[in-house]
Amino acid sequence: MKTNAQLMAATIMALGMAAVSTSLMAADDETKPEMEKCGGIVKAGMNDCAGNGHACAGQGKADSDPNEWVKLPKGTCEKLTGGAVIEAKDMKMK
Amino acid sequence: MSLPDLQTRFIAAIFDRNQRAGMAELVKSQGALDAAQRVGIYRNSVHGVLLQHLGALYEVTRQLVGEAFFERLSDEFVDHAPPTRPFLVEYGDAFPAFMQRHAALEEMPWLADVARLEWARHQAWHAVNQPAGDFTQIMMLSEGQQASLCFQMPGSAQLVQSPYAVHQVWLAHQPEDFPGKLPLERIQIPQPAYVLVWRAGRQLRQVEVDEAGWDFLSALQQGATLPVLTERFQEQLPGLLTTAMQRGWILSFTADS
Repeated sequence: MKTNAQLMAATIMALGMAAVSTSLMAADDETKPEMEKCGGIVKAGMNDCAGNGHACAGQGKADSDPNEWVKLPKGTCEKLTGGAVIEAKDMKMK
Repeated sequence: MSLPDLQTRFIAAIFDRNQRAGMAELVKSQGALDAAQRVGIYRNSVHGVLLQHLGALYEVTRQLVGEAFFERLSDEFVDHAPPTRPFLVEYGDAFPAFMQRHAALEEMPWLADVARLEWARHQAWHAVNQPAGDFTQIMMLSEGQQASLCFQMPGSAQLVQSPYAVHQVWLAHQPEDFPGKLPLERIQIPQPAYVLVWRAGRQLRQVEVDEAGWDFLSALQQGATLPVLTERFQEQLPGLLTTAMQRGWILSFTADS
């Protein structure tokens, strides 16, 4: 039976060692990607903002309407079926 | 009539179907629509947006009770608990409690718990990010510091406990295949569930733990110090904490200097 002091030392050691090996493996960059507006893939009611003559977010009426958009990390949109990047110049506030 | 009075009556008409006539007295009829119908446009528009929000948020609940009933339920809910702040994301937290008290759902109390799980997911998704601490530094702590050492879970972490198999029911309604996913009719509903929901970067995670795991996570959430954790979990502790760190259930640690 280990004493609590020994157990605490063992716990610290286990965590520290695991952290060392985890930090060696971790290579994911958490930098914020650039965003773009992606149209044609949004579920009804899940759109980000104005379009199609309605006032704002959450008012898109049909699934995958090409004029409704959500913001996605740049480069994601073209990988999606039916997705089309909406350029900033196409967007007008109504 | 003063503007505040007018606004109060208008809001009453939007969130109480019996108040519509009172507002209609102040509205002109025009074209094919009478005054009450014209007030109704605003009521329906507000209800429609909130209903879509609730339907997206409580997606599994909606599938479970069916489209028509869900619509009725959320319509009643919107009248019962209208939004009080201008943030759609915050709206709907009282929905599970509303379901729990609803006479029509008395026979199926587990439905409200499924909704509670969905609200926990919603909250986890919208929680603020915290930077991950460097756990390699933990070995530098003095013995005195170790006595005050405690661990922080991500701000998104939500612990949901239910006497019903809410995690299984939730899984059954996901389009993706998951290990352990069963069709709804094969799930034993009266079966306790302990679920942790948290967000890692852009991914929402959900895991079912056993009762021991639940005790451990609850202790972490309450900010138990290393000596307290050691006392309670003994030989299990190094394994439990290492798993918690690797899976992102704890993000950082603090100790008195």
